[in-house]
Amino acid sequence: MKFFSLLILLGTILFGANEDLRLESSIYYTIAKELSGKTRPKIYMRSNVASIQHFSSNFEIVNSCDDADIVLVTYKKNITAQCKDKLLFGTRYKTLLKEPTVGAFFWQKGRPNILFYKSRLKKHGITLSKDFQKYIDNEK
Amino acid sequence: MRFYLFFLLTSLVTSLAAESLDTLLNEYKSESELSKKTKDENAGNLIVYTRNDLERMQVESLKDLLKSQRFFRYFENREGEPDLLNADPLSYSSKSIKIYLNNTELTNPIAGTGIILFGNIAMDFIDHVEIYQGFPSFEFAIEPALVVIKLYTKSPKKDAGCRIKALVGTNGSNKENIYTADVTENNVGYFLYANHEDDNRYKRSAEDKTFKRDVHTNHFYASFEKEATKLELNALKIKRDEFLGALPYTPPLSDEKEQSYFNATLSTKLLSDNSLSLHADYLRTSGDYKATYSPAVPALYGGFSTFEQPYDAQALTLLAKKEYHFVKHSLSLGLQFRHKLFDLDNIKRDGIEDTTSQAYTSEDIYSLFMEDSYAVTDNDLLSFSLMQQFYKRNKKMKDESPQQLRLGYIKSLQHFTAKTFLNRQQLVPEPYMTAEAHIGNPDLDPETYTGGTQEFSYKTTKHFARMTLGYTQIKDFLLSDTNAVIQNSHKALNTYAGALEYKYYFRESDELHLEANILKLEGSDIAMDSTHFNYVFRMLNNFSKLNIFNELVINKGYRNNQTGYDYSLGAKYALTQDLKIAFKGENVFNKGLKRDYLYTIFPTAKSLAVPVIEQKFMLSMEYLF
Repeated sequence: MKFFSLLILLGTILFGANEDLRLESSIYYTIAKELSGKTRPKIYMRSNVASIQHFSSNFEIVNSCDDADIVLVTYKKNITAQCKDKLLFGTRYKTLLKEPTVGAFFWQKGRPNILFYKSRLKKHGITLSKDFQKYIDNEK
Repeated sequence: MRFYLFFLLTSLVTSLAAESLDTLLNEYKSESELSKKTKDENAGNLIVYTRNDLERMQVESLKDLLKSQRFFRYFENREGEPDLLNADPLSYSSKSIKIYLNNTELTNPIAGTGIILFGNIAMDFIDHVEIYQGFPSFEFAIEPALVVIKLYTKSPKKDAGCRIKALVGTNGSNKENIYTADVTENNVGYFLYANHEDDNRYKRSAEDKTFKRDVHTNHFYASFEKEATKLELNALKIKRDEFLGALPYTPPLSDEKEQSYFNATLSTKLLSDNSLSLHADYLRTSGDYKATYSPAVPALYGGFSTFEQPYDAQALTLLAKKEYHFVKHSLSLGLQFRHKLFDLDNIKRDGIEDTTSQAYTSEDIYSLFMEDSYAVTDNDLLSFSLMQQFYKRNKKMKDESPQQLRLGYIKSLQHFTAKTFLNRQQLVPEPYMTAEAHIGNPDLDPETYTGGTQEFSYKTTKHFARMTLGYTQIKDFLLSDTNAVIQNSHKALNTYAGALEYKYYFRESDELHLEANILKLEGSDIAMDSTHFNYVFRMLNNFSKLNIFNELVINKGYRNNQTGYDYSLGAKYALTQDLKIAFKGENVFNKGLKRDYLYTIFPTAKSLAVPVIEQKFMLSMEYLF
C-alpha cells in the first residue's frame, strides 16, 4: 500500500497525473461514438494508441479488423487487406493525405486538431451531428 | 410555440455538446503542455515558463525571462557577454549557473557554464523553460550548481509542420528563423531549426572613442528520435563587438570576438521500464578575441597596441543513471564522467606570443551520486542526495575531491505546498580561474556553500501565492585581488534572500503577476556588501485574437547601478490561426537599470553608465504551414 502511495505522490509531484491521456481518450471516445453511433464502440488498433490503452473503459478493444466498428490508423502498415473497407480514422495528419481515413485527430503546428473529409464521410454514409460540422472540410 | 421550444432545446443541447468537444480540446491542449511532463518539483525551487507563457510574453530571447528573475537578473560583462552574477570588472562570475538544452549541458569548459554563450539565445525553437534555484538536484548537473536553467525544445510530434518567422527592430536589428518537424512512417521524429540574428544596439562614446556591442548569431539545431533514443546536434556561431574589451587599462579603438560552438548528444533509456538512462555528449567551442589600442596601453600595463586571445576547448560527457522503486523509496543511482581539454594560452601582444603557459590543459571529473525519495505519508516526501566527486588534472595541478549533500522535504496538500531544502556543496574553481597564466591561481581551494531554502505556496484556480526564503554562507569565496589575480576570500560571504509572489487569474485567460524580492550580501573581504530589491508587475490579457503583454521590472540597490524602471509591452494579433503579427517594445521609456562599466583605470578610473537592457522596438510576423 505504501508503495502505491509513493508512486501516486511521486507521480503527482514529478509528472502530474496522466490527465492529458485521459482527455485524449475522451476525445477519441466522443469521435468514435459519433462515427459508430454506439455508446461502446469496438476499436481495432494495430499500432497502440497510448491514451486508449491507458483509459479504455469506454471502448471495446478488439483483436481484428473484422470485429471493429472503427480501425485506428497511425501508419500505412496498419491497413491490412482485411481493414481496407472498414471505417478508418487517423491519428496523424498524414493518414488523411495518404490513406482513405474519414478523418483524423492529430497534433500539428503546436496544437491539437480534428478534421473530417466530407466526401469520405459520404462514402461511408455517415452524417455527423451539428456540433461536429466545424471540423468537416472538403478534401484538397 | 412547441416548435420554438423544440428548436431552443435542440440548439441548447447542440451547443453544450459542441462546447464539450471544444472544451475537451482546449483542456487537452493545456494538459499536454510538455512542461507538465518534464518539471520536477522535488529538484529545487522551481519557476516554470510554459509554452503559452513564452508566446504571450513574446519572449524573443532568454534575457526576456532572466531580467525579471527573483534574486538574480540578467547582466552583461564589460565585453557584452551574458554574465548573470556579474560582480567583478575582469573575472567571469556566472560559473555556478548552468544552462541545459533538454538534457545536455551547454557549457564552455573554460568558464564552467554555457551562460557566456547561450545566456541570451533566441527562443524560437524552445517549447518551455524551467529554472531551478537553490542547489538543484544532482541528477541534472555533473558539476554542482546554484541555479539550473533548462530549455526544452519543441517536439517533432506536436509541432509537425513548418514555421517561418521574421523580425525587424531598432538600429536595423533583425531575426529570421525557420523550423520544420514531423514523425515519419518509421516512427522517427525529427525537428530542424535554423536562425540568423543581428542584434544591433546603440553605440556609446567616451574619450573620442566609440564602443559597440552588436551581436551577430547563426544557430542550427536538429534532433532525431525514435522511441526512447534521441540524437541531437547543436551548432552556434557568434560574432560580437566586444564593447569595452577585456582589459580596463585604456579604452580600445576597436575590438571583436568570434566564437563557435558545436555539440552532439546521444541518449537512450533501456530495460522494460526505461529505468536505465544512458547519455553521451561531445562538445567543442573555440573563439578569438582581438583588440586594438590607439594610443597604446600605458607602459605600466605593457605598452602594446594590439591584443589577441584565442581559446579552444572540448568536453566529452558520459552519464548512466538507474532508478529503483522499493516499498517506500524511489532511488536513483548515477555515475557521471566528463573529460575536458582546453587551450587558453597563445595570447599575443603586438603580434608577439606570450611565453607563459597555463597551469594544466585537461581535467577529468568523476561524479557518483545517489538520490532517495521516501514517502513518509501520502502528503509528505523526504529526499536525501549525496554526491562524491573527483577532479583529476594533468601537469602538476592539484586534484580535488569535493562532496555534495542535499536534504529535502516536501509537504503537498490539495492547495498548499511547502518545500524545504538544506545543502552543503563545494564548487571547484573553473579553469579560467586556476589554469589561466595571468589572472588564474592554481592554488585556489573550492568554495563551500552551506545553506537552505524554504518555500510556501498556495494555489487555487484563481490565485497563486508563493513565499521563498533562503540563506547561504559561502566560505573561500572567489574574488580578484588588486593585481586582478583570483584569490579565496578570508571572510565568509553571507547571502539572505526573500521573495513574495502573487498571481491572479482573472477571466479565463488573463493574468496579473506581482512579485517583490530582496537579496542581501554581507561580509566578504572586498566591498561586496549590498542589498538589492527587484519588483515585477506583469499583466497578460487576451481579447479574442489579440494578446497584450505589459511588464514593469524595478531594480534597486545594485552596486554600480542606478535604480531602474524597465517597462516593456507587446501586442500580438492572430490574422488567422497560422499567421500572426506582433509588436514589442523593451525598456520603452529608457529608464531601465543602468550598469556602470570602467572603461579605463589609468591615470584615474572612469566609468560609463549603460542600460543593461537596451531600449528596443520590434515588429515581427510568423507563419505556420
